[in-house]
Amino acid sequence: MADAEIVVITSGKGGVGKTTTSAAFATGLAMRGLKTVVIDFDVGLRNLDLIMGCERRVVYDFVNVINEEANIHQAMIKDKRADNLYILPASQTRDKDALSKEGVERVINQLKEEFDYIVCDSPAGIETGAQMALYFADKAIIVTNPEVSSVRDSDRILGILSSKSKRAEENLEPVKEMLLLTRYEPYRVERGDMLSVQDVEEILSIPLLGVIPESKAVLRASNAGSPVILDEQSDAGQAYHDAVSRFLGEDKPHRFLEIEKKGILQRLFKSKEREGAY
Amino acid sequence: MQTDEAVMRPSTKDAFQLKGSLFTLTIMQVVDLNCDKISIQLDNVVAGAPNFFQQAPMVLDFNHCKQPPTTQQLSSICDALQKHNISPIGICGDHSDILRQAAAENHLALFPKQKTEKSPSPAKTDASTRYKTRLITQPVRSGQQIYAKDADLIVTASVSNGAEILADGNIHIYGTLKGRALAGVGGDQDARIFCQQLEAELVSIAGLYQLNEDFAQKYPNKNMQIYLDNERLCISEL
Repeated sequence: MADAEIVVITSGKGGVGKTTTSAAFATGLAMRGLKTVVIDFDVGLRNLDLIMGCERRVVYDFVNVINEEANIHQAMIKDKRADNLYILPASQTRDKDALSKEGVERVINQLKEEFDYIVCDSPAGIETGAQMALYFADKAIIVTNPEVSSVRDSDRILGILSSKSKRAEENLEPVKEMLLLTRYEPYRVERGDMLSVQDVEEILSIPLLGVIPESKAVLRASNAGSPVILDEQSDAGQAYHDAVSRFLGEDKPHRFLEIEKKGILQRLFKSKEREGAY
Repeated sequence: MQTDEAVMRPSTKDAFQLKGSLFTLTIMQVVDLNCDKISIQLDNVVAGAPNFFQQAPMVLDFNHCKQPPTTQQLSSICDALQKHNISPIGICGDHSDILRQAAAENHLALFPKQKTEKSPSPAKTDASTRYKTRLITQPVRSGQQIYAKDADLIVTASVSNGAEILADGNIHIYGTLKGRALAGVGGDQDARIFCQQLEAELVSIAGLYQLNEDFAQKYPNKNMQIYLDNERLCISEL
């Protein structure tokens, strides 16, 4: 196995679903038999291990490996649900300055030889941490919520990708950018409260990888420490599965873009669900 | 041009041998093919340094002319030079077919294009608005700033909100302008901005600016241009 593909999950803005997406996406790739490692770049605010449900198994972390206080195999945690999945957690006690470009490069080069995919979970913002996460990327999944500030920040991070990534600096083929629209609510789009898929696509002008509907399943999955993609009954889980398929080149129609037509009973039930959503 | 060594070994039978050498030659950059004008200018130039031009070899450069000279025109120019005791020996620069033919018929040599030569062209001084061009093919994203110094700027994508593009010359946007665009930042009042859809946050020509007054609603899906007319910023459809 040679030369993994490096995928950064990034957004600029916080709270849009980067870590949820990283967890779901990495799990989805691993479930398809691809050997995948997901790295938490959010040093100081580590969350990925919580969402992946392995926070109690963290002994060494990414910063330890960079500082050569531990080797990569001591720090990687093997996921209990998916065979081919490993997690490299962030340090909770350090800050983003602990990441050096040389250190990150060394770790990534080491991982490249063993894995098919390296998924980099970027921290929010556009500073060192985020830049470090995207620097080595081959592909970038831009997680965006359908609202103006998130779209604006995504645009900003796209600018950084096209100017400050390794591929940009070395004049290689540019990082392949893909849009993942999360927390999408068709009924609010119809009411004009939310930007539509078309609006966001037009502003960012990058290909659409998928649309993840707003779903109770996401919060439930996070709290349970189990990536939402494993909840195959849920709309969000299915939407993530579709996105992973599209990422791997399959042609899947986009779902969950329209308001679902329901019977009266279901509608009553649904509105009750919605009240309890948050 | 470094050809100091003999290129052919002499043998006792040969009548001659070929060698390479390096000469400093004067180049005459012709901007106007009018032979009378050239003649008059030659009078003045040669009068200023008659010894320097005594049987001096001269290389002609027609790259700064609008079109290459015809055989006839080239012949007249050669005559004018010879009348002044100057020997035209060849033509340098880019050679078009017309020029090649004209050179051949006037028995002039062709010098290959010189890459190192960077003589300031006399044509440039009277065309102050001739800019280079900077081409941007990627979308200009929020937070990015692009400045085309002493150049026109062409963007073949959209310019996002929060992005800023500046040029000393004109700005052309083949896409939607949502950010800020400032043309003629060096003070050129003839600079213009062109775009396929105007939703800008700010547009400016030579320091005169206008903020977004909901351009998008005023001019939906229109090709627009922004220019100065008597120091007044004008925004109009194309």
